[in-house]
Amino acid sequence: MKSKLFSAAVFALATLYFTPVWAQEAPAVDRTATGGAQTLEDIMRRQEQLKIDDSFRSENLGNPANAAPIGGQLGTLGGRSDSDIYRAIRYNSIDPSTQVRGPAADVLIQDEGIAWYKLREGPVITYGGGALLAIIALLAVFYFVRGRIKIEGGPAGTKIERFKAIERFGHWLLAGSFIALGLTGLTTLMGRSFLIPVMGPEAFATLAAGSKWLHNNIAWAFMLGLVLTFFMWVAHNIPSKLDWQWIKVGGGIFTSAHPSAKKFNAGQKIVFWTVMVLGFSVSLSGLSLLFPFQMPMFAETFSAMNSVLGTGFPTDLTPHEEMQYANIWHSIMAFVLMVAIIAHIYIGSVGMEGAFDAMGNGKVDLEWARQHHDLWVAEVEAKQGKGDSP
Amino acid sequence: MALEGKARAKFLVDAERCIECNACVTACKNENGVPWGINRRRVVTIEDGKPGERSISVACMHCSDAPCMAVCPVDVFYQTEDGIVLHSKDLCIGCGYCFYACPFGAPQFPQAGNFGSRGKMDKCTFCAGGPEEDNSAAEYSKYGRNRIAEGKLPLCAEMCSTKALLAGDGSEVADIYRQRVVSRGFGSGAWGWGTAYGKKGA
Amino acid sequence: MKVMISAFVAALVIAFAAPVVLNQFGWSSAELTRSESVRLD
Repeated sequence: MKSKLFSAAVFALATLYFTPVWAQEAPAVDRTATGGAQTLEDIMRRQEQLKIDDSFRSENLGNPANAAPIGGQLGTLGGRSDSDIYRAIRYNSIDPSTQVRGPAADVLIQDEGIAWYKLREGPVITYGGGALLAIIALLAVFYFVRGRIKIEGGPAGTKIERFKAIERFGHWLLAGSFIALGLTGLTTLMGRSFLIPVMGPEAFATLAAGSKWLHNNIAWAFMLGLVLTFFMWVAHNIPSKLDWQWIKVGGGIFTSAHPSAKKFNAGQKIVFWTVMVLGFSVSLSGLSLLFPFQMPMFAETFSAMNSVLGTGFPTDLTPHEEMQYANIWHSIMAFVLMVAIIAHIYIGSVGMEGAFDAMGNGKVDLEWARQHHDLWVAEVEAKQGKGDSP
Repeated sequence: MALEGKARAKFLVDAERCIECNACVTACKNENGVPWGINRRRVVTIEDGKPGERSISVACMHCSDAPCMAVCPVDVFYQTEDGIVLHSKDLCIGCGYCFYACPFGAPQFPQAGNFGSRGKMDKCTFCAGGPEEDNSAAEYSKYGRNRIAEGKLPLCAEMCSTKALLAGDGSEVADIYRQRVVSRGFGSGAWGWGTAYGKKGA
Repeated sequence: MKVMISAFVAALVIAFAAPVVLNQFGWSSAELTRSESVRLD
């Protein structure tokens, strides 16, 4: 089921690229009639807010090397016409200086803001929010079809320690902060569309200020929890051949088979690595947002991707564009993580009898442990046997 | 509002005239009591000291379809009948999204840096104050002078020694500029107008 | 359960401590617009 989740998430991400705005191909326009300047067709397409390939303007910026010698006639005018210079200003291909100190003070025009806004208010809210609702609906259906996964033959009554106090502390530090981050993040993203109409702008502004404060500061707890859990559990989460057996029978989720597993089964390993990879990515982009303009990372990432994959991502980004990418990436990663975690919460609580105890008080029923983590139980018992014998 | 919705307030910077004296920046700071570290207006020079040097005075352009207004998570922006983009500092949470969206880098924050402690956003008001009562002390302390309510135009443009910076009704401003371009025969780049007042494409 | 509650409390404690600690390390918000040449304060 986890793999289904994953493919659903990939599908949702893939659809982002097929929304009209992105999919539009700008047609090749013959501009010989205007000598390379814009044509009526360009103007009409722009008025209809269709995409145009404006490289005929953005790259036509004149050549300073064409200038007459400084002592000659018109020598001080440089090698570019007024139109060249104004086009350069329009596309921010300039060599600016200013007396004002502050972030991005020397950027004259960056026009990616509207595209960022449209992506944020459109696909991110629609597909992101849709994915959250979809996973909840899917789990509800699953619950009614499959029911609660019970311990076969009932609990044994004896307990076995599964997670030490420090492990549970790390887990709940991560989990508690993640839930707070998820809720406050959704408030910031969706509050204007869904909460302002309900509670009014004044009340929402107070809520949003509080939620922003919490989001910024509890993020440190999340990062600490991420590091703690990584070092405590990474050794148990190295993929092995056993996982393949587990995945082949679907973990026994749809059947009542109980494939063998050590401390963590393949499903849990998938959750672990999903949380680690996405959590790391969400933390990095989050840090970039926490310290605006001080940790730009997208230009470098894009140029690395371009050189390895041969893609054509832009690498000449203004400080604002860096922040826009960080913001969008942060929310996409967060949505994928939320979808995965909702499924994780389900299976760890109502979805399976006896599962919550593992993180609740750390001690699970022996019969539950035998059914789901038989090899781990054997390991623990062997160790205890050794400990008892001498 | 003294313009009473009969005008479309716009700024126009004639880059052929601007001499980078920074008087607009100073006038703005002085008139509006703008705190240290905040520049509602700034002068950017391109090709400084080289052939083709030009200076441009930049502030909020009061866009027709303002990206800041669209993106704000708490919806603090509003546009007056004259097209002036204003905002409420009482509602602002200081997230900085308006700055990321703005094509001109107009929004300013008293504390740049940590996302969590940016303070309330401040930007050019076209000398039109904010949502508080016109010319009240509360309005002055948060947004600066409301010259529009007094029937005056923004001080930066009024002070401009070369009349490079024009402020007022868009059609009149455009008219003055057109006459200038015709009489001098060059330099018709109305800087930023396409971005600020044109339709926003995808 | 005790561990769970204490972890939640710890998350909140970290949240309240974070801005103070960040300021100690010089990650204060005033840093970015500070200039060496002219200071009024």
